[in-house]
Amino acid sequence: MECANIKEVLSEYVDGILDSQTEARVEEHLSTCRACQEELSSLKAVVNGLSSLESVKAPEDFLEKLHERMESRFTVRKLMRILFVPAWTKIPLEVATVAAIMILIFVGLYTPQPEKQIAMAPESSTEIRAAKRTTADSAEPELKQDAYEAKPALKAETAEQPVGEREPIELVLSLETEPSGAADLRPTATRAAPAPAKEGRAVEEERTDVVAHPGTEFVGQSAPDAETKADETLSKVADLINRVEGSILSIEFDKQTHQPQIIRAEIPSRRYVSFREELERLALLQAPPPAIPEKGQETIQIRIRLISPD
Amino acid sequence: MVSAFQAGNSAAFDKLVLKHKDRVFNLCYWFLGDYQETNDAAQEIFIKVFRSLKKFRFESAFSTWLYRIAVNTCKNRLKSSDYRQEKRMARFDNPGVSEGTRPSVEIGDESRSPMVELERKERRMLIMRAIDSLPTEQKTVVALRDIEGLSYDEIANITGFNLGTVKSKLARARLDLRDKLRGVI
Repeated sequence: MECANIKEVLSEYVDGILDSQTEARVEEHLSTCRACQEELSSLKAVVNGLSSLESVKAPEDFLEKLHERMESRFTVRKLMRILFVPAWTKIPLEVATVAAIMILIFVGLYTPQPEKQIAMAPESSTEIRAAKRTTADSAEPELKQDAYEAKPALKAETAEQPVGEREPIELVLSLETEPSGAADLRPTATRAAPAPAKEGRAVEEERTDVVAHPGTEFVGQSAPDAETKADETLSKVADLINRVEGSILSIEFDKQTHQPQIIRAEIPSRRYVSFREELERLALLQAPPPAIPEKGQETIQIRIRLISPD
Repeated sequence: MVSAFQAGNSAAFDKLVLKHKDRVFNLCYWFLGDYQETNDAAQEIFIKVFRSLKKFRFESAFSTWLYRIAVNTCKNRLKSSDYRQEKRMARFDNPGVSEGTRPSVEIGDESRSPMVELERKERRMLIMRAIDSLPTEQKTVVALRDIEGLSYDEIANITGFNLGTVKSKLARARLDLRDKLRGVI
């Protein structure tokens, strides 16, 4: 046998597990090969050195400590077992619990508020339907305080007023009964009341701005149904509010007739005059419009009531 | 004792522990190289034995089954983090520290002179370092064969290696140790 082959089996030879034939060959080779003899000696030294290492014993209290550890661990395990049932029932229980919690959260968050007759403001329309100007409009509108006061109470529920806010300016519009004609939004000469001569040139500029608001489309309109007059007025008012850079806060509808009745909006106070003037052109302002709001307010709230003339 | 334990005799478990604890402890020590770690691992091994003893089917010798648990536990501990490796090597580099951190439970010969005793301890440390540097599988077979004295067949049953693999890994491990411990052994 070659030395390389001998070295491969020397470890087994040291342990005495070679078959007799192989062992004989190894011994025959070793008798004549010094290098393999040294290889064998070094290998035996390692084996003997390892086997003669003194063993490390467990501490005397090993069993006692083991019991302490087992008791504490098994108490915890027992407790866990009591608290948490086996996985095949625990997992479905947990899933069911999570689902129940999510349902409760969902119900709590999305429970609808008590119903009110408040509709969201319609999308602002750039289409302005012309308001028919009747002959009555050419004259100074009479102060229809009586009509205003005798107006039947609105059947629609009113929206809750935010607490703590200033009282909105109330404007009352009498809805036209006759169908409107072609679009004609040129400012008329009529006004519900003379504009307070306070803003002067600024008023002119504002009016111009309002009339020339970019993006406004004036579309000719065929005669609308008398029944939708309120809707038309609403659409015009909404458009006007948008043009003066205001925003509609809410619209209340009559429960019975589903007609818009009250429009709440917020507009910049500096645009109030032009807004009021424009409003007069759209419908008959029932009462003298309130004065310009006190200075210092950046925005003002407006409450427009749409009423059918008696 | 195993049958007695399975029959409900809990005291039989204590007897099993007392019979095998030192062998298990020694094996773990040469695997892990740290006394406290070894103590912790040995207890963990017997807790595993306690939990699974009722499932023992006598398909192999109890000692083979016990060693299998011990080897796997030690391997898992070695794999668990590099921190342990650093801890072990730091100890090897400071034999004084390592000797001081564990109580002496070795079979010592009080008749030895201090010089001989010191040489013995240093030699032991060098051997431990050399064994620790082996790959895990070589370390396993050399510890089971040359330290614990188990047969090749037992080693094959414990490790799951076939006989040829056990022989080749053991031969390789011994040659590596010989090269690393030239002049020591």
